[in-house]
Amino acid sequence: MAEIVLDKVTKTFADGFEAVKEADFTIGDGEFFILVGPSGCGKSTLLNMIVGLEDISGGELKVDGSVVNDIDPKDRNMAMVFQSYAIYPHMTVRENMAFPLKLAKVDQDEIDRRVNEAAGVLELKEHLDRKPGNLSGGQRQRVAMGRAIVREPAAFLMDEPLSNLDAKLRVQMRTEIAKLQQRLETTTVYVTHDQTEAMTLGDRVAVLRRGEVQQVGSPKELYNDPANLFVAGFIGSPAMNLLPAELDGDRLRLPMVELTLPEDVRSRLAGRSGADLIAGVRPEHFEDAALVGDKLDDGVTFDADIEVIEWMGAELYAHFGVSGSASEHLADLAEDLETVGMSGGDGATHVVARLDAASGATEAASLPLWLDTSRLFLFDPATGENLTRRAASAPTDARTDHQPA
Amino acid sequence: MRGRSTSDRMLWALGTVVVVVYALVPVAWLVSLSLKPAEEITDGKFFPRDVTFDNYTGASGVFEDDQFRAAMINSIGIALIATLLAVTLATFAAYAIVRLDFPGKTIVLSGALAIAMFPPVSIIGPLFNMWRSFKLFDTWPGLIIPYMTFTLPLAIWTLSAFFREIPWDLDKAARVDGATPFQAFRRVIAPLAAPGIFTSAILVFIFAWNDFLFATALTSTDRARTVPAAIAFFTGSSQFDFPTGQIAAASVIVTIPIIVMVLIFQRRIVAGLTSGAVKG
Repeated sequence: MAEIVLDKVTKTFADGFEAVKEADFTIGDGEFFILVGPSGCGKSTLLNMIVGLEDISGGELKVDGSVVNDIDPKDRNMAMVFQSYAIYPHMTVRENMAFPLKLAKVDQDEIDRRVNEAAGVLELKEHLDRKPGNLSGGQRQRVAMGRAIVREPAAFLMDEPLSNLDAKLRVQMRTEIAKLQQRLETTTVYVTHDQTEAMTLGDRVAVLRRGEVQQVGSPKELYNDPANLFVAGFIGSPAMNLLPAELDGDRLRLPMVELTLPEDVRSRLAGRSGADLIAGVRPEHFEDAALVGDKLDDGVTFDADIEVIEWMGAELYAHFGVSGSASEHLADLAEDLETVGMSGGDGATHVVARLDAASGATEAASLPLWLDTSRLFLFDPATGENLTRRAASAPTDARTDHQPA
Repeated sequence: MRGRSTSDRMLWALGTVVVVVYALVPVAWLVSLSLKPAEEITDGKFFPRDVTFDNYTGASGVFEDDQFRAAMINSIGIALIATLLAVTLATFAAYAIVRLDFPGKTIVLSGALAIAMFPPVSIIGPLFNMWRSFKLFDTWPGLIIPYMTFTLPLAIWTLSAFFREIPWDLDKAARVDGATPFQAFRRVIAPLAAPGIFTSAILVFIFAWNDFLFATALTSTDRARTVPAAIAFFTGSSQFDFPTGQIAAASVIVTIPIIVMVLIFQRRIVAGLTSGAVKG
């Protein structure tokens, strides 16, 4: 049980590269905290600094109020689960799980009790005397978890623990980890590049880009009120559609339609206007106009030439193109998000709409689509700042809400 | 071997037989010579007519020879100590080279390689004089030191290849689990590098056991003379009697520890010991 405070924690490598720049947030006691970002954003470095495997170049790291910058990893009482699992191949499952306890000189009866208990929780009882080489990927992953929980550590640190599992097992283990964390109520810092994992597991999430913390907040805050273009584009699947926009008074011109901004959005804009903005529309804020019903007046309707339809059962994704693109502002972003074809090179933008499965949309046909204007995001193309933020600055130093996972 | 045709297998078998015969005939001949009585030695026959153990246990047999017994003890002691020291040092050195970032890392590695390429015979003269002034001439350390020097490079290179194969995450995991750096090395890394440690142990032992050059040049009495050197000092019962039978017997005996060593260590060289450490 521990509260971890990062006070302007910075990592500069010997070659001058700044992997983490002034990370500044608090991980509450018992919280499930996620560090998420594309590869190379410094999230693993940050985790390694918390556990003590990397030196901290600047700033302070406090655990329960005391600075631990110079404390050896073995004395930090934190348990780590590695992406590669890093279980000891020459030891049996039992020896693997007992290893940290043996080092801590816990007496044998207590070791047996704790290992058996953890093995029970993780359903490893019948594998205790096997070597890791004979275990499946999921079982190895559980051994790594077991080795972490037997210690009853101050915090769990997990470095992409699920990324080596196949898709089905990953979803299953995700739920198991969430349940385990709820049961043990141990502070957990979890690193992932997968925004779905981040959204489903985390009490709170910190989004990192190029070593800088972009936003810290609950998954809901990140989704509904992203601080900037990067967070907006990173969180959500399918990703938010980003379109060039022109704002003239209360009129907003999008490539496919011109609309009047609702009062609520305009008040948040605080008088900003400009020819050159980026509008963000989440795919679910489009709907088949025929299915909207009495909400029709809260948005605008336009005709879209549907190119491709992906039917998912409960919903369908309609893909269409619009002319005009904000690609000159988004090239940098696309590189960070590792997306290809975020906008077509020919000055057209590819848009995804998430429609109700009852929609009569067909491929290669025109369909009247409705757009919920109250949910529009507007971004400054130069700074990426979200101009339509609801909370001026989200609280970053305390847990705002503890959502049951 | 699955899917191989019969003719393929025949060729493989033939090749194997050729290689084994080629390699083992001289050894078999040695054994045969050692079992022949003195008057049969020159008869040119491969199989001895009357098998005798005179060359081993007889009145003039090698076991009755004080010089040979002392040489055996010297050989075993010197080779074991040299192996132990060289492998221990090489393990630490290789681990440091692979895991730590320190200035001059490449110099250490290429320096080690340079020593390995140095012809030992070129330093025998200076070494002889130095050892006499250092009072190391004709002592165990006087042989152990050059054996270590010439085997360390090979051991370091072999071991660093093994350490490189061990995922670094295991180090980190052990450190987070509460191990000191030395505990992490001793309880996690060294056991995993065991095949490499045993491989280099075999190589070092064979070098030290078989060496003739240093053993003849740097010793003068039974105090430190090892078996290969001692065999050269065998004399017959008279000056017209060349001790072929005894030399053969001594050569057979001196081969046995090597075979035993290799068999013991070979069991420990299990490939794929690290399988299961990481994803897969």
